Amino acid sequence: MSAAQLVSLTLALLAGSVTLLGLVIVTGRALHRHRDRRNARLSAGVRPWLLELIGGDSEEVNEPLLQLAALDRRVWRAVEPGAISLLGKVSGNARTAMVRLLEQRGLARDALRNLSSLSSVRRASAAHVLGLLSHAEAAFPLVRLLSDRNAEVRATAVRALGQIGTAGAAAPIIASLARGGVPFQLVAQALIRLGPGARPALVEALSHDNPAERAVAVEVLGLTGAVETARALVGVLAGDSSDDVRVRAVRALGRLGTPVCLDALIHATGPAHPQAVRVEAATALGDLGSPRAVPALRELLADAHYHVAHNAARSLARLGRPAAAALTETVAERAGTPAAGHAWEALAIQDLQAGHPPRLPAPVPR
Amino acid sequence: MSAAAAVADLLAGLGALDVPGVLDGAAGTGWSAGGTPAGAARAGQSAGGVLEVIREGVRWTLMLISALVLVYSVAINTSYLLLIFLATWDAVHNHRRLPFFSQEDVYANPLTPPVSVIMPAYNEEAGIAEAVRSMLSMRYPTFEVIVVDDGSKDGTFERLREEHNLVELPRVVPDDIPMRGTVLSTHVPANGSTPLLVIRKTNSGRADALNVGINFARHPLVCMVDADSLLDPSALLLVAKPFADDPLNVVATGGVVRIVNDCDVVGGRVTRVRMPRRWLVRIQVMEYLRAFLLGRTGWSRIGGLLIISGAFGLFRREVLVEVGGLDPDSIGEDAELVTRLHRYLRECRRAYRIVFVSEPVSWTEAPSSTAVLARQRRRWSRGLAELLWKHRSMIANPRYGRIGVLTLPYFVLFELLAPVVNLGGVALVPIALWAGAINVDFALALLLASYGYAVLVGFVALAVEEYAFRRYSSWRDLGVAAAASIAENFGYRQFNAWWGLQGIFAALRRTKQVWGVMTREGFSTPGRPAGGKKG
Amino acid sequence: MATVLVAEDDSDIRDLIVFKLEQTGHTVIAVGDGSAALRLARERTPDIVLLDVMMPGMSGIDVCRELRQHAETAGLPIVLLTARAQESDVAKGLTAGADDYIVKPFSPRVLADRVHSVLARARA
Repeated sequence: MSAAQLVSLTLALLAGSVTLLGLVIVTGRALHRHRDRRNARLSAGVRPWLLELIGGDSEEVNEPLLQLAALDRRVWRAVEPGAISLLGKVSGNARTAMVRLLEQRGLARDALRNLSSLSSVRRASAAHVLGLLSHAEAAFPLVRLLSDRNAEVRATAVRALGQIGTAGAAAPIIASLARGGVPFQLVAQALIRLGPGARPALVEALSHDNPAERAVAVEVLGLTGAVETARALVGVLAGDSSDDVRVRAVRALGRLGTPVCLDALIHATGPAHPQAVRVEAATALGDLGSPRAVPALRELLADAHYHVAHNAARSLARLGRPAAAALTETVAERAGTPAAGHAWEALAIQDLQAGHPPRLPAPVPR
Repeated sequence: MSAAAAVADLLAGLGALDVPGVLDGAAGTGWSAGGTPAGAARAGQSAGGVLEVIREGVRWTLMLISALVLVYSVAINTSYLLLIFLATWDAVHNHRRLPFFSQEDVYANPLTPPVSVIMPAYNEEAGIAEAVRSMLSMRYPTFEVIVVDDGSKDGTFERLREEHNLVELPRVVPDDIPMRGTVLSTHVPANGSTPLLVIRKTNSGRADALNVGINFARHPLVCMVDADSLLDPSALLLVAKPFADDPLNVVATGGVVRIVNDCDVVGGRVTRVRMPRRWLVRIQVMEYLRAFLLGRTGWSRIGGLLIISGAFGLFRREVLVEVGGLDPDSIGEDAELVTRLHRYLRECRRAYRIVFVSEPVSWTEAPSSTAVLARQRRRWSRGLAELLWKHRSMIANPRYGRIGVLTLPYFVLFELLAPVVNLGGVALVPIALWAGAINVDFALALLLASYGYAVLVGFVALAVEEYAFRRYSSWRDLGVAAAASIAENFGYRQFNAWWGLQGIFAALRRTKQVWGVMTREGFSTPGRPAGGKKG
Repeated sequence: MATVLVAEDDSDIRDLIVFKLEQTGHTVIAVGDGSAALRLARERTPDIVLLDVMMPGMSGIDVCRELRQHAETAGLPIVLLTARAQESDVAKGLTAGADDYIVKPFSPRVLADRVHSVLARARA
């Protein structure tokens, strides 16, 4: 083939592909619009029934339920996404009615079957639906799905198990972090939903090798107010090899707020600990909210590390009246130092929150 | 084999040796004066010896260069195509998971990390109140907004004071990152609950203003936004999601920037997306789509993301502090920061991820006049040149992983040098005509093919946009977008290359200047006679 | 019965609230964003306002604060709808002057009861 022919051929090919792509774009958009319009039309006709089903009083529910359960498949397919999205937005009677409708339409049955589908999208969406329905029978197959080869599927399974609330699933849910690809916050959220039943598994996870597993256990114990595990968390704070996990332990102790926590947190502000831990401990003492922390926080105002001192000041501002005296004294005793500057800031914040103009003039330590 | 033959053939074609009509019916109409072999031969016979030898030499050199330009143009467009395919992969993936993973998951999650949003402002009187209001009503669980008034000479601060009833709240100035400007005062709203902090400081430039903001930031994540860009309400939520998903590894995320010109904006939010009215801006829309949306998604996909737009990036604060914040001497401080992050984290051998998020959107006004566009492009190209020079030891260095062996060489070859090659090709034409090295028709055909390829890339990008994002809803906008990706090749591309070249020259000049300064500083070091003053 | 102004950007929830409140016999004005809510609260003088906390443009809390600052709307009963059961959100809403809040996902019946009781308290 000569050069000229080659170039002509290339040009023709390019022109052809550009035209083809143009056509694909246009038809794609046209089809999409058509489908949207059709679905909108179909579901608009049915929407009043849906609203009546979930918004009505239970006596009247039967009529719309029968109507919706009897819809032909074509119409139902247009309505289904809307119905599923509504399910996530309501609770109480409305939710019960909606679940009943979806079960009658066979959603749970289909989803259970699709859990072992070859397509990962199908498996994920099945897990998603079963979670929304809180379908208790699905718990066991969902636990098996936690070791699925597709990360998305594992993630939806984690969330679904949280929604179903099977406490026994806690250990495998934590372990799902080991393989990666499962969002950390999703695992935490699921474990929070499992409630107190998950605590033994969480405490056990505190000594796992994977720092992500320890981190999630620490967070969940703190967020769910597992006060009986405070000592275990103090142990994590004292001895964990990861600074990140220790910082999280500090935060958790601040949330639990028992006397054990207070002592551990005061200790954690000491110079032997990494800066990140000390900074977080200064804040956690404010979360905890005990006036017993005031002397320790007052000392920290003069800390050489800016964020330790600053967070201590913020915490003192939150502790209210017991802290105000310590702050005014610091201002007087350490005038001209950064410690006084931090104390001024805290006092000014207290003023603002009490609705006064902040006290001025302030020293300007540089 | 056949490929080699084809290239040889092409070379022959460029040399205008024996080409029977490239375009039907066009043969013979546009031959240049000395373009035919016969003509060349005649010229050689009559003038004799020297001139012909030079011509012959020039001709061969030109042919070689033309071939290189050709290969280059095919390679650059193919690389775009590859990046777009990578991005498509990502888009399909996101599209499928959309129904299962809602923003609610992140919003209602107690572990979603708090964010400090830093907005540097210099003479932003006109838009600052709106920008801050819109920022404060972002959909995000816990965040604070820090406005750094970089010594504005207009009413920027007064606007904010009126709007939020600001009162002075003195703070000890933190110095995690060295700062050049001096902090004058800090202010908060009098209600004591709106999470806003306004810092007034002496003027010292955007990068330094951001550093001041980072110093004052109280939250673990820091979001840098421009005061003149608009964010979608859920933008922060989506760009923070990678941090919540993978808290141990993600150190930075960047969001996509789109062009807001002529879109409907109500209350600081983009309510209806439209194609801009001017062609200059329309072409930029396509350019942003190809390079910033799909290109960066592609790079992010293979772990080689180099640029996070300054208009919308989210970073882990502690890492910013470790690398010393933004470089106030850098022109492209955003890209420089990300490069430095890569460098630092690689050198520490830490596992990390830098992620590009294609869905949340920040909207920015694109230049609608040639003069402003020229300035912007010169700046970009100069920034890139300086960045690559500063971090030249990373280029092609396997120690820096994909960034070193893939991204940086790519940027040198296809981003930095593109203007040189583009304009080099254009500059060659007169010489080539003189030397008779070019067959005009054939060259035109090749040019057309190369533009055709560029148009194809544009269309692929458009198809991905249509499948995954569908931001432009009217049929007219679609037509305009298609037309813009064709129009880009006639004029815009060439001017762009010219501005890019100017940027590179500016960088070369400045590098010299900086060195000059350093030499003078060297003279004044102790032990030597003070020979100069600091620049 | 009463006139209720509802501001909620999610059309599913808005439709549901409108349906439920109309069924209970109220007159409902529904809008999709905060600034429209603010305007209609002044023009149409509703008896009670239901505000979603997270709306594009102006958040429910902003609207709430604005309403409280003007004499003619200062006494208007306000109920916030929030997707977050977190204390900080609720506290923010109550400091901004809301009378009650409802956490999403919610039960339509509970919502109707809450509206009823807030109205009753306001009229007492």
